[in-house]
Amino acid sequence: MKSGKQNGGACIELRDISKTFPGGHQALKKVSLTVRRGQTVLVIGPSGSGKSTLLRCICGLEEVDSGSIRLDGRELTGQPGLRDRMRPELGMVFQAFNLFPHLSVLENLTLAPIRVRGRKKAEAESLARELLLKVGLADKAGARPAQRSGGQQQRVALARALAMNPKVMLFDEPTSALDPEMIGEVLAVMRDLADEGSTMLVVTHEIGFAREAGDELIFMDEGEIVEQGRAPDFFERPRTERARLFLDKILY
Amino acid sequence: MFKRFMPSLAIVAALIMMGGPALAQTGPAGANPEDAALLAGNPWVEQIKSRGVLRVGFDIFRPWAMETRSGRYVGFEIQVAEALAADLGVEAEFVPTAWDGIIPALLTGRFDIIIGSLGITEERRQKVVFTDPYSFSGMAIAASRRSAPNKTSLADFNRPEIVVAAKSGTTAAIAARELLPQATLKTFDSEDQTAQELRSGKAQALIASAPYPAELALKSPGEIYVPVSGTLTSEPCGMALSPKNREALPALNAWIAARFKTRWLEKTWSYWFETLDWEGLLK
Amino acid sequence: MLVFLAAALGWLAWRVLVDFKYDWQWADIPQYILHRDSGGRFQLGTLGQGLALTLRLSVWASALGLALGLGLALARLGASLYLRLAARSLVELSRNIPPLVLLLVAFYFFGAQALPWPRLAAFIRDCGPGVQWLAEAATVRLGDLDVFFPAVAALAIYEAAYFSEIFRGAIQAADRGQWEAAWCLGLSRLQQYRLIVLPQVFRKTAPQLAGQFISTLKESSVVSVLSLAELTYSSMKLAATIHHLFEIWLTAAAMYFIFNFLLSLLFARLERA
Repeated sequence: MKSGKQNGGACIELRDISKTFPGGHQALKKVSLTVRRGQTVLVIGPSGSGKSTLLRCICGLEEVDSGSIRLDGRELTGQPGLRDRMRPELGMVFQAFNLFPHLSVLENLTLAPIRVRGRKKAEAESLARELLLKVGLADKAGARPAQRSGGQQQRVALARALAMNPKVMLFDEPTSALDPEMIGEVLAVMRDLADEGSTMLVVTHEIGFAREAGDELIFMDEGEIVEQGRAPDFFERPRTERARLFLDKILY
Repeated sequence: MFKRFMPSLAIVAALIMMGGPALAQTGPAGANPEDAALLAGNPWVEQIKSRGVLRVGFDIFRPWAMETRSGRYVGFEIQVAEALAADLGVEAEFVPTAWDGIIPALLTGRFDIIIGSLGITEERRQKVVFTDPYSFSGMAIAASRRSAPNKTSLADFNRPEIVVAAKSGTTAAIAARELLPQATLKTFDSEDQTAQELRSGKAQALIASAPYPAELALKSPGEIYVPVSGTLTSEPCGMALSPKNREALPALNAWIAARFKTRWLEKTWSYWFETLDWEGLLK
Repeated sequence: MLVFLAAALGWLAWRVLVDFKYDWQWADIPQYILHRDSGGRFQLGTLGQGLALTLRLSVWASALGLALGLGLALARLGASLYLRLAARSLVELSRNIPPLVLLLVAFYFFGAQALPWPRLAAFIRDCGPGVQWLAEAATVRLGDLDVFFPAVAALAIYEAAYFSEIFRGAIQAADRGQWEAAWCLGLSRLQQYRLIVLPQVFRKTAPQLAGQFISTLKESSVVSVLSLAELTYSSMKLAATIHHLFEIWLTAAAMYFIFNFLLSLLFARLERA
């Protein structure tokens, strides 16, 4: 159910953010974007187009050179203290999962809620078990991450981010490191999340997923947002030459 | 007057055959009230009494001071130290210390006194103060039957082609240089290495504190012999204190004199140096 | 390798037997490692006690060395230029000074003249026999604390340089994704180290740390110059008492070897588990 999604207020607002790496490569050129509460926004584009940098700038792993990033209306740039407190509000899912190998699956999920949010252990564990059930891994709580398949690891990573109950979930090519047969299980969980009304910003290469899962689609190229709108419109009637070239390449 | 303390094989043999006179008791020596009175009332003594422990520095030398298999110490020096501690009414705490570092360790306060056959020399007097002698050590010589047979005088060894082994840093090395100035002196970290040099034929003779050379000859009569019997030198040994405790000397000297008077030091000496009855104590 | 070693030792023993006319007397030796007392109970002999002290010394030195090494590694990776330089200097100092000299310097810095060890010993004695027994079981006879501690300190500083390099390498090699994931979850810098990176670093460097512990066990023999009765000095004392030089030093070598070799086997097994 996607009722009421379009009516949500702005969760993330980017205004003219730019980022140039020390080598001189300009990864983002005055990018502006709004993600509303409950909305799922998908970002596609060729590699090197700045999609990942966009996510990393939002969650704070990279500093922007200029522009404004607002979370729930509060300006994050130039506010180190606030930026620090807001870290757990931005749930990040990485391409390489980045699970903590020395902890069990359950401990991966409970670590931050206990240490950062100050939850009681029992409380954190019951929430973690709920989330594992949701991603279909209720029986794997005691396992070590390394013993699980890539698809299962990514679902654990997703649950780990959800355990912090973030305001928005950021996905950085979550299926790119997976074997093809495991992509589906991860996308299914993401689709469930979207349907439940989570706020999500997803960078992906999965065209099938992009076509039907998001509320809004963004096409980026060379550090800029080239097209923005509804997915079916983009795939059937790309307005720009760059988008047409990109679609030709990926759709043959 | 102390020459009678010098070990000689004849005395060793005679004592062993006779079973020896009443030998000094080993183990914790009972306090002697008269001797104890001599020690009373000077600051060094009072300090030790209030601590309840006399810390004694020494190095392991057979049979002056040896370690048993369970880590206790026995030997002539140990028995002297135990008697002194008993008369002070305190426990003796033994602090074995490598010979090279024994004087610095005394000066830095690791122990109160060296009771370790420290020969009284001018050089050492610059750093520590000595009591009157309580024992005498003498140097003796042993030679290899293989590489230096049939020699009967020191002069036979006083030639450049003769290699003499001695433990470095000891008065044995000094004696070797003085007695055999022409010979080639080689020094080693331990007496056992000097014996090994002799056995392997690399050295023709060794000089060491008695009774070590005689003991070697007794153990390996086919290889090693004693060319000149008795001791070649006589060195008085004193207990050593840090110079800042100089005022304790009269009391200690009185104690030593008393122990000489009762022939206790003499008997103890002959027990350790003229018999091997103590070997069982090493168990 | 072992066969070669055995062959070399055998050849050496043969040379000693034939050329040196050495009078072997092995029968006396074992009691100095372990024997039964008059009550029939097993007691460590002087060599056994020496090995036990070598072990205590190494455990203390390694524990302190680990802590100091970790501190140095963190300081060298940290943001403070002052700390980076200080840590770098200490590491370079201890890597470029022979352990023996380091030991002697430590002895004069931390020995009885500099620190009130006799007073500490008296204090422990006053705490009662139970406390004294515990303190002596964990370290050394109270009278030797003034030597034991400088020895531990010197070995710890010496080992800390190596530990810090091991840690620094492993921390630098830690997966960037681990830092990023921890960061994004809101963990503080300290928590990132303590909860995420260091546990993995300890796990990954365990074999090197174990190797360094064995190396500490061997290095600890320099302490014999301070007349502290670890295995090497115990052997010296025994050599001066019973004069069976070759037997004693072969025994000491065998004790070091067997103990360290068993330890490395144990570490290898733990690592696989």
